[in-house]
Amino acid sequence: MMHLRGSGLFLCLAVLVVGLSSSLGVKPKIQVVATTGDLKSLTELVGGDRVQVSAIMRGDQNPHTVQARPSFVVALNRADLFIRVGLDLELWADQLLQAARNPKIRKGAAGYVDASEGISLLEQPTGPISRAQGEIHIFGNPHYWLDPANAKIIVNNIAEGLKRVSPADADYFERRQKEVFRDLDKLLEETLKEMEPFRGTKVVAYHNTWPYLARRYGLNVVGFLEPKPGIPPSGRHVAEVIRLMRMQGIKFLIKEPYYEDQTPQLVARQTGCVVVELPSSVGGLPGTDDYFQLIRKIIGILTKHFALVKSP
Amino acid sequence: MGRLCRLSFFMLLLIVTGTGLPIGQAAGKGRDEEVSALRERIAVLEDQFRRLLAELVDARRRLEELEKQRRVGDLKALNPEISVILDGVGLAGGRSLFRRFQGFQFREAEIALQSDIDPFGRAEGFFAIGPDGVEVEEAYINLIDPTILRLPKGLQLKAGHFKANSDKINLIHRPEQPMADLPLVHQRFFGEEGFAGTGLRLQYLIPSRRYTEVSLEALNAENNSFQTPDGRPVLLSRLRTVWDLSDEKADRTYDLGLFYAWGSNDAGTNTQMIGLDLTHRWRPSRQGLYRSLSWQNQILLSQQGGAGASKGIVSFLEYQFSRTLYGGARYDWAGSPDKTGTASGLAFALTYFPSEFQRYRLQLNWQRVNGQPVREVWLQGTWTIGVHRPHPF
Repeated sequence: MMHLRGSGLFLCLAVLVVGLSSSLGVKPKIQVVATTGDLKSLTELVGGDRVQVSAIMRGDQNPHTVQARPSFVVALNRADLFIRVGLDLELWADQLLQAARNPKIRKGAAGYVDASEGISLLEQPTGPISRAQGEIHIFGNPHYWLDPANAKIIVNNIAEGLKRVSPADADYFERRQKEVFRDLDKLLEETLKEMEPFRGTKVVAYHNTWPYLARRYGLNVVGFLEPKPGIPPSGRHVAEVIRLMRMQGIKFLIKEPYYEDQTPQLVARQTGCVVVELPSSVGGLPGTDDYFQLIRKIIGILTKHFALVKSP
Repeated sequence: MGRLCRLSFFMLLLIVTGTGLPIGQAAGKGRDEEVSALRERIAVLEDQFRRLLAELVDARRRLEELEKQRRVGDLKALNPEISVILDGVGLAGGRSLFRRFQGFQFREAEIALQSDIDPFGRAEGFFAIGPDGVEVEEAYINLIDPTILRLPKGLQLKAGHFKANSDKINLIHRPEQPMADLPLVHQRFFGEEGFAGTGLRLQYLIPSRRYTEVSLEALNAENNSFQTPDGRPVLLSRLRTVWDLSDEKADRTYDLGLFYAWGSNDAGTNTQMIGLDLTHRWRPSRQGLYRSLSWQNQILLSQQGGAGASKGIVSFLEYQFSRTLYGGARYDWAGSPDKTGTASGLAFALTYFPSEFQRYRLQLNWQRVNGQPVREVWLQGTWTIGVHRPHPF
């Protein structure tokens, strides 16, 4: 009897809570779809409890070759805000946007954010361009999020987008934006200090993912395993890279988790270099659950390997 | 001398203890003030830095806008995106393999033009230039923002000449098909050009957690199953739903489609057609550049007038062995719309992609068509130039 009475009381309370919350008009969260985990992480930091963010890509996927799945269309159809890296990194996103038939997030609408706006782009092609140069990025290198100083510009773009779709929350987003800026300043200061002893260290990379990181932290990327962007390593080119690494005494080869291991391991056997696997996005390796963890992880991995080789 | 030394030492001690202590206290106090002043100064500088950074970002944005305006000033920016796919084959075969080389053939140059018309619609055209002249494969407009017609959200309207939304294989253009030739089912029920026509299509994305779409179309089409000489269009509806079972390790989807088509035929009766297709796709998350699998299955039933139903089946499996190499196998069996014989076959293909824009394929066919054996070896080369958008999912 007591049990029944208790259950009845609980039921009444539950009904009351549900009724109150609906009558008080609990504000629905802003639905955000970001293309990458990095943008998702930064959006969550700025948007706080006012946003519900999902990412299309996982961090261990190659951003150039993500397969557009129909389930993304469903998420985009309901989204209030769409955030992309932009330039020509996620060409697959255009197909999704078209299929989503959601005017709120089409290019030029209030709910469309191109996070690259305002970024000083590196490697912008000059002169005539063609596919003979490989899968080049015609607007410049798109991996700009790997510099925490650029993250401030991304955060600014995201905050502007959030304010456009929810002007009533503008003060909230501005307050959080200032906090994120402060944390990014701290992150940059600390990681720069960690990398200071290793400025100028020469590395070879699998793909041209790292120019922004290299510029900020003084990494010297002298060559790539891919003969041209997006073109798989050929035997002749790998032999040239091995010769270059031996000649210049390069001890490190950095690769993203989504590239194959055989070619880097072959180069390691021939040159004695260390293959350093670096995550290029949030979720790329364990322990990179947000943007801050990602940058700390990258710097942590680099400094650990550089220190071991510097003082064996 | 000793007394003098002691006196000097005593005086020194007096100076240090008597006068040094207040000086030390004053210095400590001064340092604190200095530190707090410096802190204040740093805070001011930080604020100035933030303001300057914000101004810099703003200035960059304005500069970009100006650059954009300058670029937009160039009328070429309004030109449609253009891509050209060149498709050539070499074919040997007939009743006896290798005895009869049928030569190399330039099949077609597919020219694609795509552009937004305005904020509400997009136009796309695909034109095949081949040995038989120029053919319009598709030319249509997609009304992508339904609000202009006050249509419900999720609705899309397509008008023009386009490939019928009967199944996944039919929607793919010939140079981009996963094998050098169309499956026997499509060849026999629709013909070499597939099922295409001129008309209207309405597509509606049903609001649900899973991707589910319904399409209705009316189109004037000419193929082996349908003819519309009196102008009465073929009516076609399709339901497509996708189960996405992807997790952090791999993308896994099951894509199910069901269509029904009804229209007149060249015998003066009506054709009814029902098709069911199921596609499974798998791609590992980390090694997605090097491994993937796609398995497409389709069954089709067709009835002309009061005659019994003809059917067709195709199953196609493709596995990616490396970044550049794919292997495919296909089994198909097909009757014919007028029930005049059957065809069945096995096909195997190896496809090599040196880059995203070039493809070379070797394919072997073992078929039996209307009781006669057919053996074929295909060589196919496909080259893409210009802006090439990723394929629709």
